[in-house]
Amino acid sequence: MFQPRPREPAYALLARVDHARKNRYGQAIETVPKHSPLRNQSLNINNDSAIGQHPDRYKQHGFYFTADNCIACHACEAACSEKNDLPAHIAFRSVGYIEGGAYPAYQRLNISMACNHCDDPVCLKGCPTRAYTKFAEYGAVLQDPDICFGCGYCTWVCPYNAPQLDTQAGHVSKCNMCVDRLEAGLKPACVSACLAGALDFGVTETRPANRSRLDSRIPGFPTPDITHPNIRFQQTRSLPEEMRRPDSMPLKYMTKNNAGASADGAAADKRWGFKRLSTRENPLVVFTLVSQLVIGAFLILFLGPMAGLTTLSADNHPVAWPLLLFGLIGAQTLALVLSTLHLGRPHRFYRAFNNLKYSPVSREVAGIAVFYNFLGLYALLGGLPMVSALLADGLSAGLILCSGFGASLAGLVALYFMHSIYRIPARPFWNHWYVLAAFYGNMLTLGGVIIGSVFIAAQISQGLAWLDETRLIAAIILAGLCLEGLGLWRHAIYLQSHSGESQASHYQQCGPFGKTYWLRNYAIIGAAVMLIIYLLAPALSGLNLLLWPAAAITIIISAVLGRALFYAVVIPTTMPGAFFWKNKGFEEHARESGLTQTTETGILADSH
Amino acid sequence: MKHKSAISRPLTAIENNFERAVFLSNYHSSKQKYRRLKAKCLLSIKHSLRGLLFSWPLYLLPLSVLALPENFKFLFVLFLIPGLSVSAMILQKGIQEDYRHMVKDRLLECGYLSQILFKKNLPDY
Repeated sequence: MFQPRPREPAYALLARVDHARKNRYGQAIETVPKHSPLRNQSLNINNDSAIGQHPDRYKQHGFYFTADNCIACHACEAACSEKNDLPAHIAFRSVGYIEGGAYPAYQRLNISMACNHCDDPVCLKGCPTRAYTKFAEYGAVLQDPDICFGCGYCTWVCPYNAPQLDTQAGHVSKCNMCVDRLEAGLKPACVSACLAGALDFGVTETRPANRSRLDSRIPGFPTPDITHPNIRFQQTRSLPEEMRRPDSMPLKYMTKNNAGASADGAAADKRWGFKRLSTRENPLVVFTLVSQLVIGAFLILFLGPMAGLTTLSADNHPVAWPLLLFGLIGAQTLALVLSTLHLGRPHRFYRAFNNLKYSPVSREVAGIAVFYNFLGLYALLGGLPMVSALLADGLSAGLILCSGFGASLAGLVALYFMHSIYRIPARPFWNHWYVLAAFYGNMLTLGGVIIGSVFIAAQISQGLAWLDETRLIAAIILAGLCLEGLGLWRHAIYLQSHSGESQASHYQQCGPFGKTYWLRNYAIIGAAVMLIIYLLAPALSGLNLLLWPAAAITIIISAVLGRALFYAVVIPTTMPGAFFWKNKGFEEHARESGLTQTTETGILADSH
Repeated sequence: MKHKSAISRPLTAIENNFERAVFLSNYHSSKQKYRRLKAKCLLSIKHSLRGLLFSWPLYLLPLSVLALPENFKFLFVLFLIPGLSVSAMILQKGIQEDYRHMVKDRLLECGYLSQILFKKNLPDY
């Protein structure tokens, strides 16, 4: 049990107060019924089996923040870091701010934020390893860094940037509500350390001393609709109508009636932004594109002969067919290896299957694993005749057919789950059906390009006709381009018509990445035009021989640029940072200038 | 009710010098060394089988040379070497971490193998 100091001041002690039965989201404040077996259990903190005796142990607790009082002294941050023994690059609680007006009427609003121990914790549902638990005790959402394998998905889905990915340690950790202090009847360390009476803590929906308001919104704070956070605000001072973030996020906040955020800037010069296109998620760029390519290529290879593309059969191409089949296994292996190495703890990859019930990551990994295994079985029996010869004819043919259909179905399902990973309310740029259109579109385009290129080469090397045979493949690729193009067009309209982070992301992709964005769009249009000419001009075989590789290269360039933009442009709904702290712009500068070598800067050289 | 663990608490959790000395003399006995070796073998087999379960199609690549002409064989060796090295690296990390967590600086009693295999009733130290 946590040992309180001999004379703890009254402000550090948990108060006993009356409360409503339900909170504003309709959730019972009492976390479990009176006689629930979940009661009277030890939290087993540091192997201590003692059970806290606080009368409000089974009530949802939360933070109270009075923005009027916060002077941004960072004492809460320091107390939290000391209590949890955190390295300089990790902060469970951080103070950011927004500012507005002009001298002398300049105003600044400070916000101190940690985990809000939400009623509907998206981190818990999203985590593929089930490292998160919402406890009956105090309603705390706790995370076990030993179970976590460092995929960082919880840091994507959390709207408040509460879970912290430690790329050095290879796992995520977060605010634990100081449950050890709560068990001893003390408020969390950050609250006890607050100098200005800005932070408080207690049973949710109660009114701590010296507070008149219990708002769930404040300028700079993401909408509470996503996770139902257990934090209440008070901010009574009048603010300028527009408040800006001091960090590099192009966002500003309308303070009147908490009208939300909008893009800060719109008519910026178009730039390439190539340097910033390379992000920590580069392995995911490769993983998603290669998986889509392999699934698309397998679908065409397996279903093509049934649809009349007899040229694609193993009998007609005894070399190209197995070469392609085993090449697909090699490519999918490479993609899986890259995505595994992207984890903080690659050797714990198997934990990705732990949360199939809720986590889209678990479902995606399971889908890809099933596809990979069916693909392996299909290659084992279909690509190695000496193996299938060991089985009875009918059995072998049946198994080949079953594994082929199994792989096709699993591949399509896996891509659906792959898309659902990105349907995150905390990342509005991704939260649109265009992601599904882009993923299935790339499946058709990249798969078609690979199959078409290999078989054109094979047909030419055998002196056989190739033009008519590749027309259907060209039509498939064209369909993929149209699907992707339609999604991108609707997405751009959606982004323009919405405010906040989605609008700011659109500003990013049209401004700092503008030239790259339009190059990708023109590449899609150009490839589609080339394929239409290819389809409509069968007589010009010499021209078509030039058109195919030109279209193929254009499609690959557009896919790679598009996917890199996808990860680089997204702006999360996270809390504002400061000039240095939690500022992406400063982090980039620190990495370029070598400031990362000074650990006190709190920024690590970007490795994952 | 908490079951008795066949894996002791680690040396680092023992503060009493006398207790540490008894622990160390026991730890360096041939019986404990043999048990640690068996635990290491078990962890290697466990992690290898799990790795194989998830990545067996990778090992089809060398077999594919049976279906291809001579001049394509080098391609798959190219695929296989990085694949195998990454697999080995991941495998080694997994074995090392489990060894450090469950075997190193601990005394192993009867039933430790099943505890390591199923990670049941592991002591939280």
